[in-house]
Amino acid sequence: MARQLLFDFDGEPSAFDLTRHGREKLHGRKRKVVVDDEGRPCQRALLTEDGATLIPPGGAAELYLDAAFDVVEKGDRQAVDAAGRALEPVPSTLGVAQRLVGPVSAQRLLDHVTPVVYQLDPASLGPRLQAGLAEGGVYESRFSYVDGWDAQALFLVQNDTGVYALVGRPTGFDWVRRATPPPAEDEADLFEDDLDFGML
Amino acid sequence: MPRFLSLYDNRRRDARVEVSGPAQPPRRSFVAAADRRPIRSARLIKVTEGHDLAALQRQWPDPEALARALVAGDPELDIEKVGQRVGTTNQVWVSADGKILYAAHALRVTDGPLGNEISREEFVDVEATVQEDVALPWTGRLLTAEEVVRRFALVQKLQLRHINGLTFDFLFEIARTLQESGKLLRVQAAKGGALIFQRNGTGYYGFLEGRVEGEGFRLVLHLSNFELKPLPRGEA
Repeated sequence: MARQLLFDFDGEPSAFDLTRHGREKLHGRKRKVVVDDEGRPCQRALLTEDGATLIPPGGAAELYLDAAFDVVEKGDRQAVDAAGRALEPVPSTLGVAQRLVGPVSAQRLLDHVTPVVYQLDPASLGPRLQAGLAEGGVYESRFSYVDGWDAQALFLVQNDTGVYALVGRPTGFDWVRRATPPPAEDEADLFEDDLDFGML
Repeated sequence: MPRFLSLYDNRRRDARVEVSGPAQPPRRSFVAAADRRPIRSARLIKVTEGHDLAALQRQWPDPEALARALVAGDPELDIEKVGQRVGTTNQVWVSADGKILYAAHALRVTDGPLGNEISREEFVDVEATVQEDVALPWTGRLLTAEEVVRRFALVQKLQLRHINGLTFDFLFEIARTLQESGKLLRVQAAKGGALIFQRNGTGYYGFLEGRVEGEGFRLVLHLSNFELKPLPRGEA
């Protein structure tokens, strides 16, 4: 049985089944397919800079190596912060009751970027949370789908069509003042890999 | 980054301003858990063309023959290349028989929500609708924050910032106007429709939110590429 989202709202338990949501699942998608002269689909591959080696799809491996070129398995790693301090592991929150707070303001949700969305199916819904969601309340908890090194914020909302969980992290946007310097030039390009043209 | 865009205010004045994305998560790296020795990620060659499964199956179509060949001579291993760092590469397209295409023919394939192909046609580039020198209109369409967060998935955000004293005043006034209205402004492309930030990029609904605090302001363009609606049956 799939693990559920479990919440503890001031002693009142609730449980939800979750399904990943997204534009492609809702409306489908448009994708670019390259074909050869006979109309057969082709695949992307990598050609090394010297032109000597062609690496087919799936032909490269991402792994961690130490100075002796020995492989360190994923489960044998420890995350550290910029100062070298060990980070505490964060276990998956699925199947484990998480404290739910709220209602919080809509601005609180607006202060997060939430690229991950789940459609929720209430398996058991506490009456106070049910009433709060129906009144338009936004509720906040924490979320980590798998074991990792950091949890994200999770917001519960309900509209006429159902209950949804929005998962993300704070935007970190500061107040802008007249003397505020411009953002750093090397900031990542938000739309660099934005080539799915799924909205069109 | 940084990027620029132009927009109108509610008095039909336009200005070019800078945008920036959300803060990146705190930087972290990994060490070996056992003894804290430093480690780093690497991308190594696993298989090269001619040694991958598809190529081997072309050479030995009979699975039994392929199995015997694998045991006898390790044809899947390119001894000279396997384990090397990938290094700098160029992306190329290869046909089903493993040959590089020198003239790619692109199609646009439309899939339905359940993954079923609906149509395919010639690929035509779709140009960006957000450009530095074409101002986004003031639509005047306002929505409450409560409606926006309950109706749309806000999957990306941009903060608008000034590039000089004049644009500081311009953006501050927009932020103050929106804060006083208590609502977010629906933003669309100059010719209407979705905001597309680069050629063939995702189209977004935009919602501009403004707040002021003393002499400071925060003007954020919230971007959504889908509404919070139930998934089609079979997907949920």
